[in-house]
Amino acid sequence: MKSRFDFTFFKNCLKKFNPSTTKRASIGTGKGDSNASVYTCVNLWLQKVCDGIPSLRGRRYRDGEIEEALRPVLKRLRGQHFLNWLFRGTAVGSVTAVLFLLVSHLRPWLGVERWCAGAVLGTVLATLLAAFLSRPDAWEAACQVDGRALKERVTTALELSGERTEMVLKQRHDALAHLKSFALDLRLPWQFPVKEGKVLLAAVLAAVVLSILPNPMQAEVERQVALRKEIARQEKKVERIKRELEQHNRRLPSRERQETIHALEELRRNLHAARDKRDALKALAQAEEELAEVAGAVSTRDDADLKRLAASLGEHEGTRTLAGKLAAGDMAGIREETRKLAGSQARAGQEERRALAAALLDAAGSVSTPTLKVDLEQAASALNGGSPGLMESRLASLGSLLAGMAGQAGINQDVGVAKLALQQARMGILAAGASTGNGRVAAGGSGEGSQGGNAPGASGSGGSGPGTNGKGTGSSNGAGQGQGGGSGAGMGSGNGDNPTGNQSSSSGPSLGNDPAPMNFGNYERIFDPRRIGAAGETSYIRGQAGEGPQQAVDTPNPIIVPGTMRPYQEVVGEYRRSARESLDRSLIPPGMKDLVRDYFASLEE
Amino acid sequence: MLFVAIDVMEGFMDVDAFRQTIKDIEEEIGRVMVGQRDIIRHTLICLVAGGNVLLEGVPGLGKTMLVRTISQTLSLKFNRIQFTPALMPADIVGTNIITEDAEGKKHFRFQPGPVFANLVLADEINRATPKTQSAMLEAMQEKTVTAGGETRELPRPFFVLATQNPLEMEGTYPLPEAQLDRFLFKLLVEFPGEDELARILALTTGALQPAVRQVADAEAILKMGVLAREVPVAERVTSLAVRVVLATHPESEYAPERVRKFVRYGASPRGGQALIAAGKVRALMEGRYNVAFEDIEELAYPALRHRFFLNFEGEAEGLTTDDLLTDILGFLKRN
Repeated sequence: MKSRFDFTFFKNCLKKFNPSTTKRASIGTGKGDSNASVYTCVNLWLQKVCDGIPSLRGRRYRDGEIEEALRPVLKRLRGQHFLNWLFRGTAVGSVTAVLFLLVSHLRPWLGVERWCAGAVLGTVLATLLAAFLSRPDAWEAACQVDGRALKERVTTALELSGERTEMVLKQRHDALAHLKSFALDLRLPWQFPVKEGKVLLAAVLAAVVLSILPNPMQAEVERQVALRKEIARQEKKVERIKRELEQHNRRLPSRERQETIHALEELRRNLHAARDKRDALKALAQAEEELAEVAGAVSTRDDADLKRLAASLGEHEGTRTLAGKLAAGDMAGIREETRKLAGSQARAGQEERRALAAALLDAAGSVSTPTLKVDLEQAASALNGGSPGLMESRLASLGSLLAGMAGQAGINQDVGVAKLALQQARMGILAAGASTGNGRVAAGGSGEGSQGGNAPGASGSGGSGPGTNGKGTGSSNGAGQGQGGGSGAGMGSGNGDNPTGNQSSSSGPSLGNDPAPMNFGNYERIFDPRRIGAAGETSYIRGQAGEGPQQAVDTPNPIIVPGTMRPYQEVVGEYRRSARESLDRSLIPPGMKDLVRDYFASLEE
Repeated sequence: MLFVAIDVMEGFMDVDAFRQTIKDIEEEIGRVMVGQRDIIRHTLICLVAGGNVLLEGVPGLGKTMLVRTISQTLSLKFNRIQFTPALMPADIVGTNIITEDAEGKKHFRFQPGPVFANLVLADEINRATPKTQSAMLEAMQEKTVTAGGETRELPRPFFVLATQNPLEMEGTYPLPEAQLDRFLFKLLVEFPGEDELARILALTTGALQPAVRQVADAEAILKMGVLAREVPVAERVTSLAVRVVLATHPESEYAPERVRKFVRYGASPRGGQALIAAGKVRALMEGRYNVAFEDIEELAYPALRHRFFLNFEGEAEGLTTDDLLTDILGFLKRN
């Protein structure tokens, strides 16, 4: 009985909350009376708590001799006490686990096994802690012994341990004599906790049965697992892109680079915190908006012009180096090269200048950007004119313009990589979140044609799903970007937003700007005010071959304006982009932005 | 108060001597009385504890014989008062009478009544009128008698053993509550069983009547009382006694359902005193030096059954206070 906790702290607390001492302490402040009842309540409550927990209650009576005689009884009592609590805790934990399993058969519950194990373990630990706090002390041992055979001898002796009258000493002697002859095994035998044992057995049996029975929610759980894994995978991917941007990318200007990294980091955090598909899609949508802001509103036409310009200049000996710099997007190199070109042309002969002027005029013919075309033509004119100052000035101006365009193109390209990754992430998550099996649509595919220069066949990618994969390829000659949603069968077509007409094909219905000329699939009525009165596109609904029963469908609105019925997949991309632009242009109040994002995220589910 | 202060006498009685004396008394009484072990034991407890006993039972069950036998074994001065409707208070406590001395002068002299004895048998006390019954109040409580304006001490030990017939019998006057409360115990004398009745018949109709020898005296009884008061009581035992008494009150938190419903008045604090005092004596009789729960539980019936009263509904239900005490003890044990 030596290793006991010292609860001086609690005792001090009790003293502190003693209304009499508090009242004395607050004399003169006038607060004593009003607080006395509060302190009394707290005091009584604390006292009750401490009395209820033997460990906090402290030792009521101290008598080494009697406590020593009580030691075997106390050991037995504590052993029995911990055994009872262990069974009690295990039984409660098992019942809780069974309830968890039962719930998991009624609604999908990811990681229910971990919850069950945690419930059992937690309950057992909690009950063991409770058992430790409420473990019997010498007084309780005395009460037990008295109740079983000794008829209040021991408790009386403990209470009177401070007195030394003749009768009290005789009583104490009598108590000790009876205590020593107390038949522990006979009077206080080990008892198996039958009630708890029955509950435990029933719970274990129920758990086994529930584990054997097929869980109707298993497919949904597996889908959630796949979704989680996909989100984690995309999170890692985003992290990798971000790291590459941080470590290797030197082409992006500092501000854009930081903003891109920030957007990716925030996306990673949001993906990490995403609890379901909707959260993940919302995070992706938000990141895409931010990346779009970074990329700016520079027309992709400029990018295409640069590629064509580089190709054109590459065909001439004198401008091949400049073409290389343009293709590489090296802004400083472009400036340097145009400066060198101006210097060399000042010393060059008439023939050489004309050749260069012709090359520039050819190049001017291949571009569509007016300012670029004009600058090229003016530079060619200055070369033909032969004025060294004007020639140098025009070439320097052309160099600045080209460097600026190349810089913006670099931004578009780098951010485009990130955006492509986000597109793939969206498709991956959608695929992971879709239902599986029995030929149902597994995933949508998407294709996106990345920026291409002269390099042929810039890549387009298609989404993949756990069922059937959709895969798309894209080629672009110039600057183009296309999106496409995919069907599980991997069939479909999509158009990119490509001014040159080069399309990136993808698996699945298009999410691009332009509608596909022919569409098959399920349709949904979507009101599109811009298309009222327009010709609209032709849509087809698949029918069964051969003769079958006819089915008449009553339309709720007898007057259908052509063009008001459009395939859902066809228009949703437009709406999303429109919403994003509105978000970018701050047409939507800040408080409503999340609502818009949520809406479009829900459409993708 | 129920118990008057007892002067500490010279030399305490040893516990073993206590038990031996009780054993001897019980044996001697057992030679005359057949059965009724609990009645004998409870009567002795009252005697040692300094209380009075009310014995209730139909005539012929040996109540008077019990009291007479006790007086014989203890060599106490014994008086019997047969209560009748015509009995007057002065017939009990005594009265001043005019006497004439040798010189022919007349003066008042107090003639003590039969209450001046160590052991008073108030036989069929409920046959007397309430006025006469109340004459016993002061004697039972204060151990004194006041007559003609003068208070006189009664001899020690003073012990009233009253018998009463069940109230349903004709010609009885119920004892007032105040007087009932002054009895330490109320014992219900049961009709003997078949074997006991046969032994009674054999014992009382034979040629030889068993003789009783004296095994203790008044001083021994007083010493036993002093010793018993030394017996310690644990807090939790006292607490049980308190809760038992409180539980007889219908408004108490400890009262079980039937007590709340059928009890008119609860027991007075004298009930608690009776429980503890009698418990101490019983503990010594059982060879213990402390009062135990079982003492309280066993003595609750004789000590409390006459101290709380049923209401009309309770009586109409045919309940007895013993039934409610069983409820109370069960309720307290469960909680």
